[in-house]
Amino acid sequence: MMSKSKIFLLASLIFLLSNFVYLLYFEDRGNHSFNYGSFYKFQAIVKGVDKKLDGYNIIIQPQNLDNFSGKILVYTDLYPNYQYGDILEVSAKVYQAEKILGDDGKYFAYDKYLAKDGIFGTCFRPRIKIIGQNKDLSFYIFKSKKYFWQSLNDYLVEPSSSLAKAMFLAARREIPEELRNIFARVGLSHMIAISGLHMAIIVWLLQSFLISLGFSRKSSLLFLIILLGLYLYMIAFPSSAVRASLMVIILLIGPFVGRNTESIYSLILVADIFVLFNPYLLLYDIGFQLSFLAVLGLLYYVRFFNKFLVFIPNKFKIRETMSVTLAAQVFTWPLIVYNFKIFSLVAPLANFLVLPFLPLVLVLSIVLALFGFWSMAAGLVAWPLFIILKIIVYIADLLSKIPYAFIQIDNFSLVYMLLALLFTIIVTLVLRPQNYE
Amino acid sequence: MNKIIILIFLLLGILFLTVFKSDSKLQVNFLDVGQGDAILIRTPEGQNILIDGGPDNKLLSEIAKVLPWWEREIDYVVISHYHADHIVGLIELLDKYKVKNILTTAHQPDDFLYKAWEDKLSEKNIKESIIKAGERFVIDNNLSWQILLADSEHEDYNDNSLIIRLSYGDQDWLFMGDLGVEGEKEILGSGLDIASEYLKVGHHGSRYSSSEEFLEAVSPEKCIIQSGKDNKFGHPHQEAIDRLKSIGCQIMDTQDLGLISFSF
Repeated sequence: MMSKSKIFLLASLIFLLSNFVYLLYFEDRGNHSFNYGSFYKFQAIVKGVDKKLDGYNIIIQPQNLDNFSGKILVYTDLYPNYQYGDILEVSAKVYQAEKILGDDGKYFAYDKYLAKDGIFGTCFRPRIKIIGQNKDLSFYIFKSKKYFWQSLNDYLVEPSSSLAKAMFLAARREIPEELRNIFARVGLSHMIAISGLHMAIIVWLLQSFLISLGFSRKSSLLFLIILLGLYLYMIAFPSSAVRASLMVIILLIGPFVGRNTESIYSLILVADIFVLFNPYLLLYDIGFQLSFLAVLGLLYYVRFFNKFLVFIPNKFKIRETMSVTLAAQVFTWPLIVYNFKIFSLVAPLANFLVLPFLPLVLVLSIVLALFGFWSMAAGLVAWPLFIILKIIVYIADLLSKIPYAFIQIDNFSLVYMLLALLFTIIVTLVLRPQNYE
Repeated sequence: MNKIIILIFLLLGILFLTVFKSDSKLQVNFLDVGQGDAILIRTPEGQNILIDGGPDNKLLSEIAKVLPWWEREIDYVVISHYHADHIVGLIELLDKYKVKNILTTAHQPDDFLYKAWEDKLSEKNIKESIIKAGERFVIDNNLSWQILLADSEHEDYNDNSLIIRLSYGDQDWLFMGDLGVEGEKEILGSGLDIASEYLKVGHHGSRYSSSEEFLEAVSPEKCIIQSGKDNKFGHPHQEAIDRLKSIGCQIMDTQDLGLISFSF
């Protein structure tokens, strides 16, 4: 007789695998009777605004576009600005996203990547007229996001400004490519996304704040869930942040429902929930994949590395930080090499040097984002935040220039990646690193 | 705990020292903003003069690279003309930096980009100063700059380019905006001194700028072109490059070199 947990694991595995196969061979993109490539004039509501250095990616929901269902991604210039809830009259050709053949000969499934967010069409720099404003609850949530953005934008200069916006508001595209490359080379890309670590820190901050206000454990949990929900909505549900939030919530609810929620099961449960809601995530969201594999690495390898690195002194938690950094990379490196063609040797050192700043950066960013209206307070917070972020960039830049800090691997094919993952899994099954004490 | 406090004070000490480590030199930086112009001049006294702002917000990180880390003030923003590749970056610059003076021509185009710029100016409560050809700005007896041309009535924005010649000691700099050949003739006819060691080549190295007569009169040693990789205009054009080569100046292009800096 199989134990309940074994049955759960097996069912999850079958569910995820069948989803994987389905995505690989599923080619139907819908909207069959819609004439892609033709000129249309239609009304639409702005559902998302993503700022870049040289323009915006705007996601709109068409209102009266016959035979079309789903959203449309619109590329526009920096001026004029549009905001969430704007009702637009758009005149443009609507295109269907296609697979993109990269320089390296690999296809990027741009169509499915967009389908993951419910986007089934694209427009390039269309004629747009704003004809109204839709003021629902979301409008006010995104209005506060704009206010936070403005505070972080106006009181900080670069490179700190775009980093703070990326780390608190997931506004990644405002970071110059050059700087993003530096972070990738030293294995710190997770720092400029909303990673699980960010969420852990934010949850910890919120919890301390709520409890200090005198809330009971139970009611603080309720408020925590509401605030987290609002925050995730504001930053458009990045997979890694949602994954981390769900796991934390399962962990915190566990004691209330009298159930021991062991991390590996909650991780897989959360994966099941994700894929149930949005099957595309499994294959077309690198953030989702990296986030789950990193946690898998943490669950299996932290203790192992702690034991293995016993020769490193644990002063200032050096050994612990190293173990966590290494463990997080055990399962993620094949994916990182496959997608970004970089294997960072300097990553453990970079993470050890930079990650301790993260809680302070987040606290200061949140305070600055909130107090933008009060220029004296904002100015006082902005200076230390600016300096810390500048130091982080300085460290990353310095490390990226060390010879052999990273290795460029250009010909790492899909087969290599799958073999590498399989190999790592087999090693894990044989080694049983989770049993080290 | 004590060690951490010592560390913090050490760090603050280093930061404090860098503030007063001024290198009293003139710096001229041609920023790597892609297909567009953005030139930051920092005077020996620490005044900042920015000529144009490039086509997008890349300006904000590029300018931060050349300014000292504590600097939050730009003394003069000079707008050569109101094309997107010269002014878009300036709009958000006003959010981050305190801009004291804005110098421009009398040209006030009727387009949405100029409207966006005007809206930002009134939001920040800044007034532009309109300057005329011949005006001279003296920073000290070693450093001054003069306006050579500031037309405003031409149909083509490029022909309304504000042209500046900066003099520092015995070195001169000529910033040509996007001026075409007709404008060059006008400058030649004005009788103003234009000979310069350094030339910011007109209109990103377009074939419709940098005429032979004009280049001969300027006779530059270094010719700096601001252009972006794979730009849709094919700048710089070979004809212009050939003319620049024939007067024997060294050609430097931001699309090959990135940031180009000079200091004296």
